[in-house]
Amino acid sequence: MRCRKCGEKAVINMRQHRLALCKEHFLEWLPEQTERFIRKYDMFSHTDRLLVAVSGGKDSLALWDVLWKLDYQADGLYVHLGIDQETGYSDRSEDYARKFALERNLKLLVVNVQEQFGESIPQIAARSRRGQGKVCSVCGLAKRHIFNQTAQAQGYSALLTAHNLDDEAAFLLSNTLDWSLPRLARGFAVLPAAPGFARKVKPFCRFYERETAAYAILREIAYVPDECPYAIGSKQLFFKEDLNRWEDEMPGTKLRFYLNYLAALDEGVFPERQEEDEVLSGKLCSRCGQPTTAGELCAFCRMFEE
Amino acid sequence: MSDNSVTIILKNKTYQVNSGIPLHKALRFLNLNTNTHLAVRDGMLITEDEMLKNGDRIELIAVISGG
Repeated sequence: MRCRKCGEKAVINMRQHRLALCKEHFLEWLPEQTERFIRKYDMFSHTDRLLVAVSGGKDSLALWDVLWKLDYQADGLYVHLGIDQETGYSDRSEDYARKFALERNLKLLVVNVQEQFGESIPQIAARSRRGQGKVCSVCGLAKRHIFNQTAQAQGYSALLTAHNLDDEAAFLLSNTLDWSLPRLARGFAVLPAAPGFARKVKPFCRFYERETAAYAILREIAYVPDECPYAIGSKQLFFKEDLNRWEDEMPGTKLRFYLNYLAALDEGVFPERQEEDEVLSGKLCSRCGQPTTAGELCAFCRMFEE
Repeated sequence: MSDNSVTIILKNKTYQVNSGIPLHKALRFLNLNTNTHLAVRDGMLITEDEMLKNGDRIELIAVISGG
């Protein structure tokens, strides 16, 4: 297969776009497309201070690399979750994030959950009511809390995550099966800032996961290669595998699913309400000051009271 | 390894397939999806139509992550 732009040997074929590219042109194409999405969805500008949630994995490091190449002011935030302390999953992930930042002279903020809150995520999950058998639920809540708190406390214009189209399509499929309209209304690539909440943006939302992975490989970005041990067997992975089976038979299925969802959002198919329930309640947590739906404490702080 | 064999490596596991078939057929034979795996030969990504040759060593990279 040959590159459509120059005729050299292609390294990737994107069947949904009917586009095969060589290494050189793919490494040009992906940042160009990212810039196009940033402008199309009015995500942020070069004067904004951005905070990228970095896990040490391929997507988040690829996103940070693209933003760096495009000359945006982007710092990184790594949250050490204390995952798999026997094999040091979180330690190794942090090493990849630190090495990446050091090589490019970028600023990396690190929050260590064990040091800051006295317990690791698996320990909180084992003890708390929320966490019984659901480490990922505790992890997701903790990350959202820490990302939001850090972005606001340090005055960043926006919090960026490296969610790709496979992530978004799996989210849509899961919430469509549940007919969860309020959640479906919050799936846009930009969630505007609201009282107590930082602006949240997903610049990679239109790339397939294999494209962000290909970018990381071709740019020789070192990333943590193994999956989080708690994600194995997750519902999200199950949906992704299924979506990719459909994609194999019908190229472009995932892209159409997501783009038609965005069109439906524009047409007002889903409820207009996009704010989190916590914003609508107007209440603040008495311990951390972040928004909460009910009671004195937010869901994150409540985990330490159980 | 026989003369017409290709070695495919995924997550420290090794598989053997016959040469002379395109990558996508080899992946299908192993019940793997080209959308969820990238393939590297001699240090470079290859596309799914690439013909596998005798003695090729293909490293597969799973690209789907969850959580």
